[in-house]
Parts: sequence; C-alpha cells; structure tokens
Amino acid sequence: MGDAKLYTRVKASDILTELRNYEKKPRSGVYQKTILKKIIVNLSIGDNEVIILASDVVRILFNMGYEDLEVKNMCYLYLITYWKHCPKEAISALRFMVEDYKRNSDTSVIDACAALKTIASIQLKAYIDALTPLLEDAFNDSNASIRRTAAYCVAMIFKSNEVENPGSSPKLLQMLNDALVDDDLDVVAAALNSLGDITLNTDKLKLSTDKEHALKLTEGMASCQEWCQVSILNALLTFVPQDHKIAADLIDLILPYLQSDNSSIALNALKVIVYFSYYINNVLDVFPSLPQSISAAISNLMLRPPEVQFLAMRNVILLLLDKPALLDLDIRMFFCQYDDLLYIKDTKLEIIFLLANEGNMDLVLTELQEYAMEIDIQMVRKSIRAIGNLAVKIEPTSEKCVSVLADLLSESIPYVIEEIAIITRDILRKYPGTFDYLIDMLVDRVSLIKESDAKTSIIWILGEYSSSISKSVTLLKQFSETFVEESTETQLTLLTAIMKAHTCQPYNKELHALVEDILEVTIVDIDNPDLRERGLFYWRLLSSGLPNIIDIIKPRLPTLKNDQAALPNHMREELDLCMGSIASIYLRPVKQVFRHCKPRTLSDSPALVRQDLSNSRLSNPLYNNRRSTLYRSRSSTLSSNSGSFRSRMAFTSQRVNDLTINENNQPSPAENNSESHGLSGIMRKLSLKK
Amino acid sequence: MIAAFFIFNRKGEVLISRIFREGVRRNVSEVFRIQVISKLSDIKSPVLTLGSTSFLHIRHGPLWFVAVTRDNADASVVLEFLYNFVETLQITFLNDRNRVLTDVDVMNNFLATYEILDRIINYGYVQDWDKNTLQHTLRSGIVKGKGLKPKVSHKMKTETHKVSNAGAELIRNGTMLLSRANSTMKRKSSMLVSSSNRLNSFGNGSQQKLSLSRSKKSKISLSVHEDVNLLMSHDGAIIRAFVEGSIHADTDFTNSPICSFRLIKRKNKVVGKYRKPNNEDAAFLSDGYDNIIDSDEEEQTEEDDTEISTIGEQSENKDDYDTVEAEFNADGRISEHETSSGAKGMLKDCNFNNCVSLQDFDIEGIIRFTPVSAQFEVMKYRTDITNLPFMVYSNIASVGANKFKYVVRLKSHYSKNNIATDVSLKIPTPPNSLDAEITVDMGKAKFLAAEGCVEWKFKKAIGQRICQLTATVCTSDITTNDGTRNSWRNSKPPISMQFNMGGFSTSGYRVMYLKVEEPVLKYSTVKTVEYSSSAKSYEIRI
Repeated sequence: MGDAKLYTRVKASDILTELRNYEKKPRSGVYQKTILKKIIVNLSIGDNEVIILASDVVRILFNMGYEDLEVKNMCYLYLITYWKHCPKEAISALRFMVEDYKRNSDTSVIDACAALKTIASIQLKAYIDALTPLLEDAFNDSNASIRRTAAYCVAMIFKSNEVENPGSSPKLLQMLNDALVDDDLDVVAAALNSLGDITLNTDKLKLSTDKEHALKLTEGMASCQEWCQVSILNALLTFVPQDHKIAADLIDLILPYLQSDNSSIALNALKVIVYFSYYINNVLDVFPSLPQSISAAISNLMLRPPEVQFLAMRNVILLLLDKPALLDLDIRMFFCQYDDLLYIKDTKLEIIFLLANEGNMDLVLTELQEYAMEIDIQMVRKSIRAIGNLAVKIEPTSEKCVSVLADLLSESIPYVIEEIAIITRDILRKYPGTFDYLIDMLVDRVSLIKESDAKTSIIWILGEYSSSISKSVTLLKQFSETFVEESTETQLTLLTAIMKAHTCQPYNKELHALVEDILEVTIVDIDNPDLRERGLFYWRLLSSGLPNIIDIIKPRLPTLKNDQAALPNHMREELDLCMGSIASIYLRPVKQVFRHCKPRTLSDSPALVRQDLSNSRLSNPLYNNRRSTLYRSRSSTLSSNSGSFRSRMAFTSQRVNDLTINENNQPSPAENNSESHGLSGIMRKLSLKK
Repeated sequence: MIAAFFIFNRKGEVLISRIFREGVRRNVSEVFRIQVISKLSDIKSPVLTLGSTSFLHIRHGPLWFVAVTRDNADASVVLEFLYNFVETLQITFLNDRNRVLTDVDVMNNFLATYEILDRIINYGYVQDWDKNTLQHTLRSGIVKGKGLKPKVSHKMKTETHKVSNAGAELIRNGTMLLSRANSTMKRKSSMLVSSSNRLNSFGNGSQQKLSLSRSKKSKISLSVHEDVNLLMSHDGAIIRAFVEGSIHADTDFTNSPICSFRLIKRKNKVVGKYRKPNNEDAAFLSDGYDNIIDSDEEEQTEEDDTEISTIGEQSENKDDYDTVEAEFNADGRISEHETSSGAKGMLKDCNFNNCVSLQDFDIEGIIRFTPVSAQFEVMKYRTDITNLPFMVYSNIASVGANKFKYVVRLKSHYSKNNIATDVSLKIPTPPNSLDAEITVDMGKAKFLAAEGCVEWKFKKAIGQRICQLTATVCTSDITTNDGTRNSWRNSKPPISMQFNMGGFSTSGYRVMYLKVEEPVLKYSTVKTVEYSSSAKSYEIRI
C-alpha cells in the first residue's frame, strides 16, 4: 500500500489533535510518521495552514530524525518550505542539522550533502553564520560530491550574506575561485555555475575565463557526464578569444558535441560554436563542413519530443534570419506531419517559408497547397499567407505562387477566399498590373467574404483599382449598405476607397451619390471620432478645390520592398548568445522579456570579426541573394499583433509622406480641373444641407 | 535557472511542489493551472511567460511536469531535465521506461519524488545523476506500480486529449483508466504493445546493477530497432521517408571491456520507381504490376548475393539472428576502412549514449564504448531510405451521389524470406459514412464507424505479394451542408499503416565488426545482433 491514500486536504487542527492523542498514549513511531506524511502532503497541495505545526515538526525531528531517514528528510523539506514563517522553530533545528552534517561527512556523503543544502536553504543569520565554517570544511573534503554541494551553497547564501555580514563575501568568493581549479571537473562545473549565478545578479562582479583554463575545460569535457558538459559549455561564453587560432581550436574540440544525445548539450554546443565564429575570420573557410555538422545536429533534434523540437526550430529560425550560411538544411525535414501539434506546425511553416527559394519552390508549393486543403482552418490560413508572402518575396517564381492561389480560389471555400483576399493586396502592390486576373476571380466571389480583415482588403483593392474593375461601383455600394455595422477598420477603408474611386471617375453619377451618402453618414451619424475626423478631412479636402487633390487621396503607391531586416544587428548578436534560452523562443532581446536580467554582449577583442554570414553558400549563384531576403511573416504568436500593426502604420505614414512630396507626379491639368469641379460640386451640396 | 518545480494531475491539482529559489510564490501553481491546464484545447507553446516568470511544461500521460523560472533560463536544459526526470521516475517507480506514470504512482512515492528532485537539482542547476542506480541510494521507500500502457510516439497526444475528455472521474482509478485508454488507443497500439514487449527486457530496473561482479559467461547482444517513417503524397511520390534507428545493448561482462562496432550499409538497391498509375480505374488495375515484381525479384537475389559477399564468413546471416563471431584479421581492417568512409558519409544524423567516444566516431567512424550498465541504448540514428517495405496504391472515386468506391492495393516490397506481422491499414472514410461493402483477397477488413475508417488487417504478410481491397462506402445524405462534402473532398486524413518486422533492417544498415577488447582477462565473448523494424508513422496521403 502506498501513500496515495494520504492525498487529501486535512485541517491542520485535526492533525494537531491527532498528535496530542498520540502523546497521551504513545504508540509506535509509524503512527507519528504517518502524521508527518500528512503534513507534507498538505504542504504539497498548497495548504499553508500546516505552518502552525512547526514546533511539533521540529520535535519529531529531534525524536526520530536520528534513526529514521525518511522522517529527517520530511522535516528538512518542511523547514526549507516554511522557515520564513517560523524562524524561531527553524533556529532551534539548526543544532540538529549541523550535527547531522558532521556525523555524516565521513560516512554517508548523500546525507551530508542533504544537510549542507538544507542549512544553506534557510537564510537566517544564525544559519549563515553556522554555514560559513562548515563550507570551509566542505571545500577541503576529500569527496567531490561534498565539494560540489558546497560550491552551490555559496551561490545560495551569497545574496543574503551580503546583507547579514558583508565582510565575509570575499572569503566565500575566494573559496569558489579555488574550486575552479579543482581536480574534479564536476566541482569545477558547479563552481562555474555558482559564480555565473552570482555575477548574473550583481553588476560589480564579472566572470571571465582565461585561455588556458578554457582549453583545459574543453579538453576535459570528454570525461564528464552530460550535465557537467552543459555547465562547461555555458561557461565557455565567458572566455573572450584574443586571436583566431584559439577560437578555431575550441570550435574543433566542441564540434563532436553537436551530436550528443542530450538536446541541451547539442544546443549549447551550437551556441558556443556560433559565439566563437564571431572571433574567426571566414569561419566557413576554416570549417567547410560546419553547415553539414550543424544541420545534422538539427535533424537529430527534430526527432526529439515536440517541446524540444519546438525549441530547436525557434533557434533554427534565428539562425536562418541571422546566419543562413551556417546551415544546410533539407527542407523536407520540416514538412508537417498530419498529427503534429499546432505549435509545431506553425513553426515548421515559418521555417518552410524561410527556406523556400527558386530551386525548391515547386516542392514547397505542392506541400503548402496540401496544407491549404486541410481541415484545420488556422493552418489553412497560415499556409495561404505563406504562399502569398512567397510570391512577394521571391520574384522569379511569383507566377507559380499566384497560379496556386488561383487554383485554390476556384474551390470557393469561404475562409480560403478570405485569406487570399488579404494577401492579394500585397501581391498587387508588389507586381502592379501583372496579376489582374486575381482581382477578377476575387470579385466574382466577393459575396463569400465575411471576415473583417478580408473585407478591408477587398475594399482597398476595389478602391485602388476601381477604374479597371467593371463592377467596382456596384460592389462598393453594396458594402456601404452595411457601413454602420462594420468594424472601424473596415469603415475607414471603405470611406477611403470610395473617395479614391471617386477621384478616378469624377463623372460617375452613382459614385457621386455614394460619396454624398457616405460623407453624410460619417459626419452626422457616426460617434467614432477617428471616423468622423476622417470624413471631415475628406469633406474639407473636396471643398478646398485644390488642383492636385488626386495626389492626396490616391497617391502613387511606393512599391513594396521586402528587405527590411526583421531583427536589428545588435539584437541578433545578443540572441546568438542566448541560443536555447527562453528569449530565443520569443526571438526578443532579453531585456524585453526579463526586465531584471543582464543582457549578454559580445566582448571586444582583437579577434572579433563581424562577418556577413547572411548569404547561404549554395552552389547555384542564382539563389544567393534570394535566401538572404528577410522574413516578414506575421504568423508567430508574439509578433503577430505588432506585425499587422506595423503594416497599418506603414500605410498611414505613406499617406502622410505623400502629402508633402506630390510635385513629383503631377497629373495633367485638364484632369485636375475636372476633378476639382466634380468634387466641389458635391461639397457645395453638402454644405447646403448643413 | 529552475526556480520551482511542480507536478500536476489531469485535473490541475498539485501533486508535488518544490521551490528552489527565492522570488517565486507558492501560488504560481494556480497561475499555471488557470492559464494552461484549463485551456487544454489550445496550447500555443510549451513555454508561457507572464511578466518575468516563465512556465515550461511537458506532458506525460495524465501528468504535467512544470518547471518555473524567473530569468532567461536555458530552455534546452529545462526541457531536457524534465524528460530525464520523467524517465528516472519511470525507471524507479515502474521498473520500465516504456510504461506511463499515473498520478497514483507519484502520490504513492511522493517522498521519493522529492528526494530524487533534491538529488538532481542544486539551487536550480541540474547536476549529473545515474537514472538506473539512483533508486538504490534513495532513503525513502518505493512502492512499485504498474503505470499505464505505453504510448511511444507523440502521435498519441491527440488520443490523450480524447481520453482526458472521457471523464475526470476515472483519474483516480488507474485500471479503469487503462481499459478506457486502451479502447481509445487501440488504433495505434497494436504495434506499440509488441514493441514494448520487445523493450521490456531493457527496462527492468532491479536487474540494472553494474555487472562488475563475477559472471560465468561474458556476452553482448545488440538489438537494432528501426522505426520507419513515411509520408507519401497521393500520387505516389515520396515526400519523406526515413528511419529512426536505435541500438540497444544488453551486456554481461566481467570488468569493463571496450566494445566497438561499425554500422555499414548493405549495397543500396534501387527498388522500382514509384509511379502511381493513372487515375482511370481501368489503367489502375491493369498497370504492369507483374513486371515490377519480376524486376524486384531479380534485384532481391542480387542483393542477397551482395549481402553474403559483404558479410563473408558468416553463414547464418539469413536467419533472423545474425551471430557474429569475433573474427578479425588484417584484411578485414583494411577493407573496413574503405567501406567505413562511405558509411560514415551516409550515417551523419546520429547521437550517442554518453559512454560512446564521440571523437572516435568523428575521426574513424567507429562506435567505441565501455558499457555503463547491463542494458542501455548505445546510439540513435536517422537516415533516409529509398527502399520501402510496403507500397500502398489507392484510388477513391465518387460513384453516384452518396457512394465512394475505394480500390487500395498493398504491395510488400521485401524479400520472400521476411515476414511482417501485425500489419494493419487504416483507410479513412468520409465523416458521414454509414456502411461499407468490402472485399479483400487477403487479410481481414472491416468498417469501423466510430473511427471513420476501414481497417484492413493481416496477421502475417509475406514478401513480394500484392493484396487488393475494394470497398464501396455509402455516406448519409447530407446535401444541405455543402461544407462537409467539400472538406472531405479536399482534405482527407492519410492512410496510416502499422507493421512489425523481425530480422529486417529497413535502412539496410548492419552492425559489423563487433569487437570486445578486455586487456586483462582476454576472454572470448558471445555476441549476437538482432534486427527489427516497425512502422512509426507510415502515412500515405489520398
């Protein structure tokens, strides 16, 4: 029979009564132990009432702790958890723990370590005072486990020690520093972790490793166990190579660890290699097979559980954005499995998007088209968006992408059409006049579009290309019938679209009436100040009788450029040093995610080279530039909102900019006159109504 | 680094809570319960960051293992730790790393869980421990449990979701849950169960003492298991085909000798080009299958020849077990170097147990290790494959308003000497299917309405055979809702297939030159190598 039956919430007062009953007629120790277990269960569940039992727990510790190790461990756990709330009782237990450590330091290493850790966990002054001499003793112990535990204990008490007795801090640090040259690498790794932790939280101290030590650690890694290797790899980031050779030597030593079974070792090895590659001239000439090794490591990581896959893929994205030259990945590795988790599919899609180039476009498109016919609507939308973005990103194959979209359009599935409507806007802007057949197909299916974003997009298209779309006026009119119920975004777009259409076809009677109606509605009926102001703005504009009004309302659009860097340089450098960490999942600088953390930076050294690894070294020179074009997808959860927001901002700012630079594209005077005539006519009417 | 650690059960109740660092309040567990566990259906990422507190979680059967951090912790360390911790609990509480822990197992051993946690984590940093021997040094008593039936692939995740919906009242009752889970998981468990039987011998923790003591015979047996993954498009093009192989060693040695072997690929044969015949029914049925078989058989014999010539001295290599006696001569070494460069080039994606010398593999392509325990996994590898054991051709046509006609052909592409067992195909049917008339020329097939598929099973499948299934599926008359019809037409789940094959390595990799060196005692060793393959995710889009 196990302890599962004890897993119920028990009132602390009931436990107390049980204990008192026990005292009246003592039975076997088992009974007392069971009560203690109940206390621990309640502690686990999060029932903090058991705090009132502190004195009893300490008493049990003294009664039974010497013989029964389970009881001792339970009492320790209780005290570690609640020492803050019962300092008096905790101090009374100190004597037991110190004895426990001294008694066991020679015989039972495990118990000695446990005692030491417990003392260090309880950060009362008395405990810290008692611990310092013990630590001195522990650092000189012959057993490596005890020395290792001692190293961690220093980190545990360091912060409180600063407050309680600041004088002893240098002594503690000295002990840790001595541990750095311990014979046992386990101890060294612990000391490195410990020092790393201490320096992370204070600005005063900095951990750095010298060349000899770095080499010694790296060479010694082979004889270490896995977690020790992780610590050493992490510590290597504190070594700043002063010449290219040492960096190359270290990379050479670390390369085999990419193939480790432990995903943490593999990712940390990757991080260290990327770090040292900053200190080598032309790293790819020195290590021509580096991309293959890294890619092999990644394909190994892709076989791990989904969480690890996810982490690995986020880091692949980082590398693809930053240093695609270091990768040589097979895109098929990232094709989605039917039953992949949603977040895995998402991330895979992003990578597919980044890896796509002219060479593999056919493969990518077939695959994306497959996803676009899935049942999962989110996936469908994302893959369609990816196809559209590919069309914008890679010019030579845009035709193929668009024909795939046209193919999908012909199926007349509402959400497919909606998504295509959204991306068509970008495609039309990027390739003006090339894919007008997409407009026709969309217009035919306009009745299926329900979603606000998609509506906005199609309305924008109708406004921008109104003169070439035969039904544009009728459709705009249709949309304006439900104007009041639409979202603000759609309303604004519709207003602008109608204005644009009007400036293009000033003599269209129907439009004339439409403009009148819509301005009236926005100015008179609408409460939303943004919308009303926009309406008033147009009204004043029209009534101003300016000659070049078309340039204000419908300026020539700047062509879409897709070479904005998704991540600024300094951020990429910082992220390179955070590979495998939580910040790498969000692809955000550390400061932004964790306000209290010190960001890592590349240290300056004569060997530091900021080389351009953004071009992947494919044999076909054609792709070279394509691969480097950066990524502007909105699919990742974090960037999604800001992404679309940014694009919206871009739109508005374009308009503002064009207001000032309209001399460049003067339309013919005749057009201007007719325009202003038509417009001012409306304005006059409107003001009369008022 | 790790600031706190929690284990939750499916209902979101905390089973274990341990705080390692200041700055984390005990009630963060509430936050996780509300933000993640209660939003089971859409988990966007395994990491959730709120303010500067991050939660990293993995799921294991009904349990959630959660680590909380307050800084920019190394996520790779945390995730790897969580998986390793689960494995340690499995070995310690269940004696079997292939069974799934339940909350009862954790509750029964909560003291041991805390103790293991304290042993592994030092102030939030993970330190080394030995999964197999840890339990012998624990101070707390351990109550061994049975756990749940294993689920190996992450594919089952979706199934667990279903199970979790099945009812929270089952949670406390492990056995009932087991039976319920069984019925839901049956779909994929046929292969898994057998694979667990295969692996059972490895997980037996009580036997896992370092065999440093005297033993009568020294022996090493390697078992090479390959999980085959295939994704094939509906027109028969291979989108992705690879195997995930793993090599387990079962050793019984005096002292600790150095073992080494190489993985060498048999001469790669090209098995027929996979072209899907035209969509027309007639062409589909009359396509030159016989020719393909003939040519295959030729290749097969050819390949057998080469196999004999490569392995040379061994005569028994046609059996399921290859007994490889240690016979090394200078010639062997030399020829080995030539082949190894090729083999090394081929086998890049592999990772190794910590006891394997990575440098030796990097430089010479030799896998050299000193056994760390009696049973352990030496290495894993991944390699693309060109020769698939099974080919599936399918043709689905809609005949009449509510009828679909299925023609599915299964062709086994391996040599006649091999036999696949527990072969099953799941052929999805439209969501509103009512019934199916099925005829098969081999095996058994039936329509499973609940799962929306036709299941076609074989107890045994011999190599070089073609089997055919024809079915007419009637669907209910849903004309009003056009959407469902559309979505079925456009997106169908793939045909998925399960199989097990003993004595067959799909990738063609073989363990060669297995050698045991013991400088002091110089004993001879009994060595065996066993191969097996099974389907992990064998899917054909339709």
